[in-house]
Amino acid sequence: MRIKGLVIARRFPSDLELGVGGRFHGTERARRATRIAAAVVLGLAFTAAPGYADPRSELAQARHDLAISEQVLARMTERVEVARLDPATGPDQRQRLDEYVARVRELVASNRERVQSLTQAVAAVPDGASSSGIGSESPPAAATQAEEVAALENKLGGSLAEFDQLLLEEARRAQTRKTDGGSGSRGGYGGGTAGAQVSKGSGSGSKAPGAAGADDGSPDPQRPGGKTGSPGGPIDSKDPGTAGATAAVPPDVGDGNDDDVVARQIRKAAETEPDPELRKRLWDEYRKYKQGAKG
Amino acid sequence: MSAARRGIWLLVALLAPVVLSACATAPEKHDVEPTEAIRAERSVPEALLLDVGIQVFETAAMTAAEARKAGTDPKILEAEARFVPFHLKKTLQQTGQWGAVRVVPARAEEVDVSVSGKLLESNGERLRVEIKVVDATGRVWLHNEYSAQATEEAYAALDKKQERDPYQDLYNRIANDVLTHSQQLTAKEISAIRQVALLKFARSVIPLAFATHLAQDDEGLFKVSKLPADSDPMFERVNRIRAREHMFIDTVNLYYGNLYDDMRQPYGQWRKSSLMELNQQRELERKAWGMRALGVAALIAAAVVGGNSSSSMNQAAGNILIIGGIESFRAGHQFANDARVHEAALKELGVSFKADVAPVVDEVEGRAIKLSGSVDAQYAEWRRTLRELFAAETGLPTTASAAPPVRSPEPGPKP
Repeated sequence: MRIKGLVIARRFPSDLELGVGGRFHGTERARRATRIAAAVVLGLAFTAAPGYADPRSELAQARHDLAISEQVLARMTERVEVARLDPATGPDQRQRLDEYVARVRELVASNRERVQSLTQAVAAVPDGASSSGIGSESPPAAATQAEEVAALENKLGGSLAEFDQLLLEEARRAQTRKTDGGSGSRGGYGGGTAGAQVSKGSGSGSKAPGAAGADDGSPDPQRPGGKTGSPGGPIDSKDPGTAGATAAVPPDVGDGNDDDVVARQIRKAAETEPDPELRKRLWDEYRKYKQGAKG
Repeated sequence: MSAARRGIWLLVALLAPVVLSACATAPEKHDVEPTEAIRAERSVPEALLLDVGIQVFETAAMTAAEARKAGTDPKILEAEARFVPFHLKKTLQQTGQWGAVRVVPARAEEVDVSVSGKLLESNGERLRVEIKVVDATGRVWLHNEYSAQATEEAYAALDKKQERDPYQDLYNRIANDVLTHSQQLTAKEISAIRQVALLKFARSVIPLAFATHLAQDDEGLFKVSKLPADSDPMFERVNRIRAREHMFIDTVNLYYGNLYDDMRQPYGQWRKSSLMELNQQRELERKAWGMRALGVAALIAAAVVGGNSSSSMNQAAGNILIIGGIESFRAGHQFANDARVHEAALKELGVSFKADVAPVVDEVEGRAIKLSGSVDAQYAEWRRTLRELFAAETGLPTTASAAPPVRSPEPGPKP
C-alpha cells in the first residue's frame, strides 16, 4: 500500500503536465484540475496510511510527500492564477479551481502536521535504540536501515525527477521564446572582413580573419561527443560526462548528432540517470521533444 | 643605526606591502592587435578538456549621469555584462580547445576554469575589459586588461550578413591567452584540476562526506588528499546532483542566449551609429576649433596691419581681416553647434537602445533569479536528504553543518 501511494504521489508532476506555459483552457482544464485533485487526495490518502513500523522511515516518506504536495501547490497556484486572468474561464470554473487549490492547501497543511508529529515521535525514540522503531513486530535493524536508505533514495530520486521536470519546462519556455520572441537579429552585423584596429598607435587597421567569423547566429558550436561536463563515475582518468552512463541508449533515439541545446540536456540526463523509472521518463521526454522540434 | 637610516627602513617596510600588493593585483595591460583564435587542429582527448565557467561580468561603477556622459547607460552596461561573456563563451567554444563552456550567473568555484571579468569601457569605439582566470585549485592563470579600438570599417559590413564582432580580435586574444596557459599544464595537472573541481562540488553539497578529500598547500592552493571509491554511493548521488547543476546553468544559458540574439542587431547598430556620431562630433569640434583659431589669427593680423599703417590700403586690408576673422568665428560657432547636435544624437541613440534592450534584460534576469530561487530550495532539500542518507549508511551523527551554497561557494585562496 505504501509503495502504491508513493507511486501515485510521484506521478503528480506528469499528471500536472498541462503543457508548456501551463495555461488552462476552459472546461477541459477545470475537469483536469478536478481529476488531479482526486489524484492528489487519493495519493496523499495512500501515503498517509500508517503502514510504517519505523518512524524514521515514515518521517522520511512524510517529508517526501510534503515536498511533493508543496510543489504541487506552488505550481497549481501559479497556473490557476493564469487561468483566472484568462477571460475564457467562467465563474463556475474559477470557483472549482479555487476550491481545488484550497483542498491542496489543506493537504499540504495536513502533510506538514504529519511531518511535525513524526519528527516528535522520532525525537522521542531513545538514543541507541535501533531505527527499527517501537514494537515487538519491528523488522530487524539491518533490514530497517536498508529500508530507510531505500526510502531516502526514493525521495532523492523523486526530487531529482521534479527538478528535471522544472528545468525541462524552463528550457522549453526559453526555446519557445527564442522561436516566438526573437527580434530577428539573425540578419547579423559586424564587419566580416574588418577587425578591431590595433589601438594606441599601431593603427594599422589591418584585417584579422579571426576564428569566430561563423560564430554568431549559428547554433552553439559544441562538438558532437565533446565533453559535456556531466558527472558520474571515477574522476581521475575518465570523462565525468561519459563515465556515468548507466544503461544502453534505446535504439530508436538515434545518435543525437542533430540535437539542439535542450535535446542535448535531456539526452545527457537520460544517459547518466541510474534510476530506471526516471531514465525511462527522460528518454520519453527526449523523444517528445525531438518530435516537437521536427514538427 | 642612525635615525635617518631607521626612518628609511621603516618607510621601505611600510611601502613594500603596498607595492607588492599592487603588483600582485594590478592587471597587465594589453592593447589588442589583429588576432586569430587558435583552433584545435585535431580533436582534443576528453581527458585533457577542461570545462570553463564565465561569470556575468561586473561593470564599472558609475552613476547614471556619468554613464550618460560616457555615451552609455547603466541598463546598457547591465546588458553588455551578459552579452560580452556570452560572446566570449562562443569564441572559446569555437576553438574546440575546451570542454563545456558556460556563462554562470554567480561565482562558481566548482568549475575547472573560472573566468571573471569587468567591463571598464564599452562603446562603439573602444572595448576595454579586465579579465581574471583562475582554475579550481585556486591558481591564477592570468589577470589582464584588454583594450581594443574599432574602426568604422569594422562596422561596414553590417548589411553583408557577416557575423564577425567588431571587437572579435579582443575575444580571440583572450581565448588565446587562456589557451596558452592551459597548454603549459601536464595531463596530470589537468586531471588534478578536474578532480578538485568535482570534489569542491561534492564538499559543498555534503561536507560531512567529503570535507577531508581536499586540502590546501602552503600557497593556499587546493589539492586532492584522497579520492572517493568508484563505487561510493554518496559520490554517485553527488554526481547526479552535479548533472542537475549543469542542466540548471545550461537552462540559464538558454536565456542568456536569447538575450544575446535579441540584442545583437540593435547593439551592433547602436555601436556603429555611436561611433559615426562620435567621429562626426569630433570632426566638427576640430573644425570649430580651427575656425576659431583662424578668426583669432585674422583679428590679430588686422590689429597689426591696421595699427601700424595709416594708408587706406592697409586700413582696407585690416577691415577685410576683421570681417574674415568674425566670419571664421561665426563658422566656428556653427561647427560647435553642429557638434552639439551630434552629441545630442549620441544621447538619443543611447536612450533608444536602452528602451530596446532593457525589457529583455529584465525578463532574462527575472527568469534567472526565479529559477535560482527554485534551485536554492531544491539544494536545501537535497542536502538534507544526503545528510540523512549519510547518517543511515554510516550511523554517524549528522550535526547540521553550515554548508556553503553550491553556486556561491566560499572564497578561494587569495593568490
